[in-house]
Amino acid sequence: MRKLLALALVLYATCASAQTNSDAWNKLVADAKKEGKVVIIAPPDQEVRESIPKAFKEKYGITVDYLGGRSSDMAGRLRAERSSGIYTVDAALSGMLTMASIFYTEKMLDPLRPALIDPNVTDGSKWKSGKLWFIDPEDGYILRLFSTRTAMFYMNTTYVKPEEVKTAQDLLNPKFKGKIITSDPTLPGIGSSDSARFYIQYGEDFVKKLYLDQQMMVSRDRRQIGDGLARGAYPIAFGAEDEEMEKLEKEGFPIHRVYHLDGMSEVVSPSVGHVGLFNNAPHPNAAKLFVNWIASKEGLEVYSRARGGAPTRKDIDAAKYLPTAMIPKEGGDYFDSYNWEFVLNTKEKIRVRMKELMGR
Amino acid sequence: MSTVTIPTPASSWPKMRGFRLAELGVLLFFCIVMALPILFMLIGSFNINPPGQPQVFGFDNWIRAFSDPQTLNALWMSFLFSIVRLIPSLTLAVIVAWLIARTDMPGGNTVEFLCWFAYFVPDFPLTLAWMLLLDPHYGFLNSMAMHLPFVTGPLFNPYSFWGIVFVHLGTGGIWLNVMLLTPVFRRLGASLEEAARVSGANTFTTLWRITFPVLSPMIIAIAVLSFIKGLESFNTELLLGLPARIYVYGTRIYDYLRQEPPAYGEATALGSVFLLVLFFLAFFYRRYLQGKKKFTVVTGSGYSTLRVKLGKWRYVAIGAFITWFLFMMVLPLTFLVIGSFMRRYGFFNISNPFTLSHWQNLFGDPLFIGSLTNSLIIASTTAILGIMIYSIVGYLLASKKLLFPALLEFFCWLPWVIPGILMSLGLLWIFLSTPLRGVLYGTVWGIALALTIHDSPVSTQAFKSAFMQLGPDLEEAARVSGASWRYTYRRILLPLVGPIAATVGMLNFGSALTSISTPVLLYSAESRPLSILLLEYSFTGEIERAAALGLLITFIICVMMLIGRGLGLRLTGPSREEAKPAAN
Repeated sequence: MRKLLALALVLYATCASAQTNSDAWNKLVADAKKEGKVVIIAPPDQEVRESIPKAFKEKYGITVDYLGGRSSDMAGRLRAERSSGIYTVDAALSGMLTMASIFYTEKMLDPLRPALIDPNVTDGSKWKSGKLWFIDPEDGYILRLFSTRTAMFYMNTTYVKPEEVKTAQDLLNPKFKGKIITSDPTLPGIGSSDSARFYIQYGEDFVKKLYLDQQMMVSRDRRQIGDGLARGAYPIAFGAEDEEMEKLEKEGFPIHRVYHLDGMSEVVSPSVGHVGLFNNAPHPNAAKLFVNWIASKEGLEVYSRARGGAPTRKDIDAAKYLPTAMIPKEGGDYFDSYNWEFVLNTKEKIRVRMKELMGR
Repeated sequence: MSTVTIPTPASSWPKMRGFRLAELGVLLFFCIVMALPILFMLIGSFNINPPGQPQVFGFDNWIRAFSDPQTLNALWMSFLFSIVRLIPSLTLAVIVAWLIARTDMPGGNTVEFLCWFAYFVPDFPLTLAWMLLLDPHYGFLNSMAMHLPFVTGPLFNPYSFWGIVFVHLGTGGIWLNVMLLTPVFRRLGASLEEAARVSGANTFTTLWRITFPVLSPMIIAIAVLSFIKGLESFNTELLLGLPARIYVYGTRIYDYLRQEPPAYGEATALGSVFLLVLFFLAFFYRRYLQGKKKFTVVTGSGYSTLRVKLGKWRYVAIGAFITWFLFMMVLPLTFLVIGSFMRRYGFFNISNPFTLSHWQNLFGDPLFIGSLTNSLIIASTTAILGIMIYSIVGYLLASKKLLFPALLEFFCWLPWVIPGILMSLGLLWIFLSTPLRGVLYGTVWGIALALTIHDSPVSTQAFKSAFMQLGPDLEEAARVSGASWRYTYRRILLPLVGPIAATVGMLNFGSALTSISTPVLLYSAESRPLSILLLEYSFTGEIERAAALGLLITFIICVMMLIGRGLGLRLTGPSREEAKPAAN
C-alpha cells in the first residue's frame, strides 16, 4: 500500500511537472508570437540565411531578422549600441572566437541554460556528450551545436597522390616548394589553428621550414585558395572551407580530404556551431523560443544541413546529408581545434609568434 | 530669351549676416558629423583597458602600433605605391579630360560616359578578372604570349609591385579623375586661350602656360585626393600583394580591425598618420591658392568655349583612348560578364561551364527587392543632400570671405583621411548619442547621411573649384542690379556650376550604391542595401553571384548617369555642335 502511494505521488509529481513545463512552453510560444520577430547575428552563408528564417517562420509564424556579416564588424556595432543603452539583437549563431573573446568576455550574454526549457533540448540523453555541451568556463552561456570531423588539408590528386603525404614531415619534401597554399596564419581563424597545431606538436623549427622554406602561398580569400587548388597551381591547400571543397567536388575536381597524418590526432571543429542569448534582448520571448528551437532536433537539423556541420545531438541522422567522413566516431580520439584554452591562449600566442616569423 | 524679374535690392548687412550664419552653421554641422567622430576615435585609442571595463588611459596602443618594425616598411610601401600610381593616372586623366572638353576629338561625350561607366564597375571581381588574365600559372594573356617565338616563360605577373600598379590603373586609376576634371575643363572660357593664340602661342604652349595653370586648383585637389586614397588602398594589395609578400599600410590597419576582438585603438593610432599627411598637404595647398585670382575663367564679360582643332590628330587621340579602354576595361570586364554566367568563375574546362543560375538566384533572393529599394532611396537621397550641402560649402570656401577657411577646408577632408570602417564607427557613436537616433540609426536616412558625409572631400573640392572659376563681376553685376544673394545664387551661380552639380550628384549616387564600409555598421534588416548583399556574397565565396550583382549595380548607375549627364550637358552652355573650332 505504501509502495502504491509512493508510486502515485511520483506519477502525480511527474504529471504536474510536465503540466508546468507544458504551461511554461505554451506561454513562451504565445508571448513570442506577440513579439512577432527575433533579431539574430549569424553566418552570412546564403543557404543558412534563407533556410533558418524560413523554417522558424513556418513553425511559429515569427519573422527572423537575419544579420549576416563579419563578426568583428558586428562586435564594434554591438559595443556602440550597448554603451548608448540600445539593444537590437536577440541571439547569435557564431564561431567560438567571437562568442568567447567578445560576446562572453564583454558580458553581452545572458545565461542560456535557464532559458532552455524544451524537454527535448534539456534531456541530456539526446546529446552525444550525454549532456548539453556548454563550452564557457561557467558552463551555461555558450552552447556548442556542431562537432565536425575536419580535414587537416586538401589535395588535388591530379598533381599529388595521397600516399605522397603520410606524415607532417612529408610536407617538407622539396617537390612541394611553392606548391602549398594556406589561409593566413597571422590572422585569427583557421590559418592560425593549423600553424598552432604544427607549432605545438613539432616546434618552431618545423613551422619555419614549412611556412617559410617551403614558400607557402598565403591568402585571405577562400576563393583564391579553392581556385588555386582546383587549377593545380597549389595542389595542397590548408585552411580551405569545406563548403568550397564540396562545390569543387561537385564540379568534378579530384579533391582529396586529408583527415589523418601519422603521429597527429584527427581534428574536430564546431565552425560557426555555437548559440548564445544576448542580455537585454529586445524580443526576450522570441529570443528564448529561438534558442530552444535551434537546439532542438528540428532546428539543429535545419542549421546542420544548411551549414554542413555535424550536429552534437544524437537524434539527428547527419549521415543522410553529410559525408560520413565528416561525422566523428563515437569515442574517437580527436583534437578539438576550438578548445577554450587552445583558442583563447595557446593559439593566440603562437599567432603573434607567426607574425614575427613571417616578418609582418 | 526669358525675362528675369529682379527683386527688391537687399542691403549688404543682412547679406553678410546670412553669410556668417551659413559659415557658422556649416562649421557646426561639420564639427558634429566629421570632427567629433574622429575625436571620439582618437580619445578611444588611448584607452588601454579592454571594452566593457572602466577606461584607463595610456599610450600602450600607440606604442604597440608604431613599435612594430614592419609598420614603417608598410608605410613606405604605401607612399611608393601612391606616388607611382598617381603620376600616370593624373597625367592620363588631364589629357583625356582636355581631349573631351577642349578639343574636337570625335566621340568626346561617349568617352566621358565610358569613364563614368568604368569607374563604377566593382573593383573586387575586376581584380579577380585581372588575375585570370595575368596569373603566371594559368593567366590567359600569359598563355597566349607563350605561343610567341622567343617567349619561354610568363610575361606578366600581377603579384608584384608593378602588377599592382597596373591593375590599379585599370580598376580605379584615371576614371574618377577624368570625371572630376572634364566639367572643369568644359567650364573653362576660351578667352585666355584665344589671347594666347593671338599672341602666337601654339597649342602645347597654351596648354602648359594658360590652361593647366588656371585649372591648377582642381588638378592639385585631385592629386591630393588620389594620393590619400592611394595611401589607404589595401583591397587589391591584399589579393595581389600577399603572395609576393608585399604589405601596405592599409593592410596593417585592416589586420588590427579584423582581430577578435578588433583592436580599434591600434588601428586609429596607425590611421592618425593620414591626418598628419592631410595637415601637410592642406597647408601647402592653401598657401598655393592664397591671394591669387588667376583661377577665374568664367566672367561676366563675354564667354565662349571654343575648342581646339586637332586636325588629323583627332583620330589618333580617339584611337589611342579606344585602345586603352579596350585593354584596361573591356578585356577584364568581358571576363567579369562571362564570369557571372559561369558555374565557376574562370573555369572553362569543366563540363557545361555556363549557367543562368547565379542571375536567377540573385533575383530569387528574398532580400533582393528590399535591398534594391533601400539602395535607390539611399543613393537618391545622398545625391540630393550632397548637391545641397556641398554647393554651399564650395561657395563659402571659394568666396575667400570666411572667418575660418582653413578649419572648414580641413573638416571637409576628414572623412577620407581615416579608414572607412573607423569613420563609420565614429559616426555610429554620434548617431546613437543624438536624440535623432530613432531616425538615423538602422534606417536608410542615417545611411544616406553617413554616405553624404563620406563624400565630402570630392564634392567640396569639385564645387569649390567650380565656384573659383566664376569671376566676382557676375555677383557684383547681380548685386548692382538689386538681386539678393539668395536670388543670385539660385539664378546665376548655381546654373553656371550645373555640370559640376550633376557630376557630384551622379558621383554620390554611384558611390552610395557601391559603398560597403560606410553602411556596414549602420544598416539593419529593414535598411540593408545592395552593397551589403554584395559583401555577403563575396564573404561566402559566391563570386559569380557577386559579379552578377556588381554588374546590375553598374547598370543602374549607367541609367542614372545618362539622365544626369543629359541634365548636366543642358546646363553646360554651348553644345559640341554649336562650338566653333578655334584657329590652331
